[in-house]
Amino acid sequence: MNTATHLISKKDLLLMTGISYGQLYRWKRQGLIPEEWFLKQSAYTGQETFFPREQILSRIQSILELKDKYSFDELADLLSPKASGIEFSWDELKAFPEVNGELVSVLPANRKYTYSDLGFFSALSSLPLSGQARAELAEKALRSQSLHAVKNCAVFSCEEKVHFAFLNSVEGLFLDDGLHLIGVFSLEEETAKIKMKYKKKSTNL
Amino acid sequence: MQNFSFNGKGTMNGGEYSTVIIDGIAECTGGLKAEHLDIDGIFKCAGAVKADVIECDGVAEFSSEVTAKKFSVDGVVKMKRLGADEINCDGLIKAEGEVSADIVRVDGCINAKEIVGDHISINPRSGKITGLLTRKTSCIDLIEATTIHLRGVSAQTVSGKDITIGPHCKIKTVDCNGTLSIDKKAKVENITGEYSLK
Repeated sequence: MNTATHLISKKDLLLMTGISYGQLYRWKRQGLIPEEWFLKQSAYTGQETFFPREQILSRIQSILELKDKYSFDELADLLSPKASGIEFSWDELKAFPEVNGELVSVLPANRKYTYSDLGFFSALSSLPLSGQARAELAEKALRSQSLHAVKNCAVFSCEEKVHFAFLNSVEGLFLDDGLHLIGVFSLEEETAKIKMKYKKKSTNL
Repeated sequence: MQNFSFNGKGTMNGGEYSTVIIDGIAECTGGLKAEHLDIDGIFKCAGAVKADVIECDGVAEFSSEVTAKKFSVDGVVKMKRLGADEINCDGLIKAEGEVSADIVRVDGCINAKEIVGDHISINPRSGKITGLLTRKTSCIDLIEATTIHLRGVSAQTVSGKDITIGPHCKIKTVDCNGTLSIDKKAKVENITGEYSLK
């Protein structure tokens, strides 16, 4: 099975979002849009720049929503995949409706959880998985101890067993027909969404 | 933070300072962070440079990334990449890679792979050599900004919203999605986009 390559050209991006060249390049300099999202490809007009479509549109929407509420340094921190240092206890996980309750009940109670862990659990919770499959994936991911460094994740099944793969880019991902793709998500974006939602709430208190 | 003033000739380690003044011939072996970097002599820096204000009236060569709020050149600067809020150049900037700033004002010459940002204005400065007035043509692969004003520029692609191609420009492709003005003394091979002619 081939995942669709969802790219958007720079020109189409500016048209669709209404942002200017100035804003795009300012946000790139400020670290709000990762440099690696600027993908140069050959086109009939010469070199053209493309972006991973869903990620860039989601990111620009986030920036436009939040730029008046936070400084650019704060925004860069919110949107950055690096560890924010904030951790949650198992009890506190129950306060996140994005994370499936059944999943929370099987997670280890004696450890702390980061925003990256929450982002992963939130993404798993929205995929069509059985409770057992979701729990197995969560346990394997926690054991890998590398969620903080993961950019993207693909979840797939093979002969009724569910697996995941961590990827730098989902572009060009190809699975043979023995594998069934259940879902692909950007862990950076899932983590950023949770961070933004819950940091915003704590600022309003 | 300390101030640091370098006269004479020699090497310096990098570091973090308030004001750095280079009056002699200095080679910096590491990265440099400062509020104000003033180059009146000759300066070579191997590491990344980050400063609020960088002013170069002398000659500087940066082997790594340069980041500033305000970057002003009246001398000659060579670098890999430059990112700033504002760039003013009355001298010469030679960049191997991307020059990115909200405002780029060049009244001299700039050669770069890409110049991108919000407002870009490039005018060649006339100089006298052996009694003849000469114009230094700026050579850039890609210029991309919201507003662009060019004179005496040779470029592969110029993309923007409001573009003015002035005299003595030689551009392969202009892609405009706003207003476009092309001087009769300019050469433009291809024009694309949805624009209105001024």
